[in-house]
Amino acid sequence: MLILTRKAGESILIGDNLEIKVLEIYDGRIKIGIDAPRDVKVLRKEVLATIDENIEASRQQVSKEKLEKLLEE
Amino acid sequence: MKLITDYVGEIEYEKNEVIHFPEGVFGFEDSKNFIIVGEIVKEFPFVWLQSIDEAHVVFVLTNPFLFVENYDFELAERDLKTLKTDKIGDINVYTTVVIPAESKKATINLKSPIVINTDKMIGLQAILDEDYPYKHPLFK
Repeated sequence: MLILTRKAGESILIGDNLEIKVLEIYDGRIKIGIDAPRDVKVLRKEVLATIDENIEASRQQVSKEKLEKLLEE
Repeated sequence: MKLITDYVGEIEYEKNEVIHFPEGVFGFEDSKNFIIVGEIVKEFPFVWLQSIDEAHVVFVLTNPFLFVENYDFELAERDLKTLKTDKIGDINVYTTVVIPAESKKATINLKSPIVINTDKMIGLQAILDEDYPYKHPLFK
């Protein structure tokens, strides 16, 4: 992993059309601005884990009977 | 109105029961409108969040406060804006339930609750800043 140190207001360029700018640092958090082409998907990493959970949750076909059984056990 | 769902059967609902999710639910961005089927009661603390845009999209939800002590979080300002409220009293909180083959190992996603403004019928799935697990065991 490439590690760089940046201050608020400074940027990192990735490739020709991706810019990541540190906007603000406060209270242990960093506000980041991202300039990327529209076809580049930008996600908070936590979103991926939630998408996985949602897919798993929607795949199960849980009937009332099954849920009732779950409570009995 | 009537809706034939894939798993919950045929449902009848009124227009004012439809909850609008402006951003959909993570991974299901095409489903923007849902209804809640059932009611959470002590004896049966589950409801279904059924998409009315896509009949196959349905989630089992529960009220996390029934299962987790001290579950507590703050919604981001952005989320409150989407929900068009700043009163926490207007908001109902649910979590999705995942039930694996070994159903005793069911989990709820405490990191990403489904929050609904019941007054304006707007919902969203939040991702909390607080450090909660995506898979919290439903049963101890």
